[in-house]
Amino acid sequence: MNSENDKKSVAGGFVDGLIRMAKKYRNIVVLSADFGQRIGIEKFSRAFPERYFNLGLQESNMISIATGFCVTGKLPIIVGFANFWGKAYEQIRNGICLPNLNIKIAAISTGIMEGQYGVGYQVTADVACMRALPNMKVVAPADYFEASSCIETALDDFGPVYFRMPNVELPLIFDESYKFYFGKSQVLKDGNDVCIFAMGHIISNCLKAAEIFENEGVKVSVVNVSSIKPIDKDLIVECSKKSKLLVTIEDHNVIGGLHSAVSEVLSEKSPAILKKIGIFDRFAESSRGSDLYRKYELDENGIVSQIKSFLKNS
Amino acid sequence: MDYSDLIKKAAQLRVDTLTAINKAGFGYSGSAMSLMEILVTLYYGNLNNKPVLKYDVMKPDSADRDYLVLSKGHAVVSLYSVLSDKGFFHKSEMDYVGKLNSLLQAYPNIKVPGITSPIAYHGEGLSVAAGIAMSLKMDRKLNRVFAILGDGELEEGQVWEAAMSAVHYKLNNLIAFIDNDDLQLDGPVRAVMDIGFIQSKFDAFGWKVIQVHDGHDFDQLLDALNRAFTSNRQPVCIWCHTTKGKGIPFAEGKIGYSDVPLSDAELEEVKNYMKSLYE
Repeated sequence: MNSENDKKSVAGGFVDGLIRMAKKYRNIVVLSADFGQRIGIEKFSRAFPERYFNLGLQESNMISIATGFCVTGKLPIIVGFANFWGKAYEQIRNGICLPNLNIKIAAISTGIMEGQYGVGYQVTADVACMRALPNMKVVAPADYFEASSCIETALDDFGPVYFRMPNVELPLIFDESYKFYFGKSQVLKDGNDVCIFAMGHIISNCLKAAEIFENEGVKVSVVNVSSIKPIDKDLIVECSKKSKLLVTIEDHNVIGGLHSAVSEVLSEKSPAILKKIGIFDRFAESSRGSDLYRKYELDENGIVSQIKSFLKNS
Repeated sequence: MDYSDLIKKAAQLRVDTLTAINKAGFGYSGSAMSLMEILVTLYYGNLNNKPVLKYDVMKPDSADRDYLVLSKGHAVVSLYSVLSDKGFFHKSEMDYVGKLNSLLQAYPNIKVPGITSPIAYHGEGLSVAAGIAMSLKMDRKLNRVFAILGDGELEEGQVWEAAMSAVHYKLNNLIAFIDNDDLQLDGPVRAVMDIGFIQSKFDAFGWKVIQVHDGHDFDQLLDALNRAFTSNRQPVCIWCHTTKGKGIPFAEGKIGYSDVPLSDAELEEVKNYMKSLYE
């Protein structure tokens, strides 16, 4: 564990991991659509200028061009800002998932954490959409080190992968020795009263909430479900059996995201009541992420108060 | 192949295609006919004593091959006829187009030997072709990329994104045929959504445009390709005026035959008519 003050950008971890892997795999090319500066991918373009292609604001074209790169033996990484994939969902389905091509897609600035750019740039339905595509894997790293390990694992693996990451500095949870595996989750904190399943950048808030509970004598476990598809069924079932209250927490619509994914596992293998915290099927508004998190009760205090009400009513 | 052989080949492939569509019980007879001469020119034509399109039947994934992106993917049965005639897969596969567990699906799929790019929906192919061309340029390879687009497809916005990016990346290794048969599912293209004057649109994007007044004439197609191969910095659009249902005497230019198979009796009539051309 690192100290509270150590913070690093999650997307930065992705880019650093990608640059390391680009030295290993010479067929890696990166495609991005105009927001390269904002999402920090220009670091890659400086390191490998001949392997970086900016497609301007042509999101659908960019995805189909990646298909073209892939059939000639390249390994395309598509890096885009926020909802860019929404303009190209059909191209992702037809040109990447259907032929099962080895193309990775990274959406940076997901959720409402960077809400200042407006609702159009807030991404709260991506996991639902991407999870429903055959062959697609979906991951949401929680910190810098997990993001860099995610891309390394994904590049050693074959097939389409969708990454969702914020471009903000978050407390470090893991260290250099961490290794990400598809379909594997970790219990970051153990406790038997409440079990939190969370994905992506909201994990750090969940850990803070767990500490608040600990001071009050409630033992909370936090499970990092960074690999949403494939999902770690065994760990979810195991955790569900030993905790009194189960909650999913996500910076995503509660429909189709982590709550749905965990529910699918529990309903089949170990039926249990599963509470949810997330964006309740509504649009947020333009504001700084910290304000939005406070309003929609996704910061540590909001999480604590929501879980307390679940405990009271259970 | 000389001119008369190409005509015979096109007639034979038309019969193969219509027979496969008839057996499938589904397919785009009219659309599969309008691009036949373009396909035959690419696969059987010779320019300066060299084949137009480079391919290796024994090694379909060869690094030296040229790429063909059939953006007009619903006409894929014509391409299947060509590939089976060339021996990329056994002719018996043509009896099972679009059937359960068959190799030959309703749209181009890279699992099929000889198919170089996956297409599942109209409007995406020019982008895929541009991607291939960019990748080849990056590797400083001389292989060419051919794309075949329908005219109704030009109504899709993505085609023009691809047109813009192909010029930006100076893809002179990209040649796009427009199969301009003037008809789409709901009626004449001009009435459904007028795509305007194709030449000036591609011109304005910075493409070199070569017009082929009769897209069923091998001499004109070969001449256009000869000019396309010398393009310096621009991608090339070969704008071909074609006829939907070409070669089927009772279906030429008729909207009703665009997306249906011929009946057994109609097929028999076409076979007898075509056989007089190539036997």
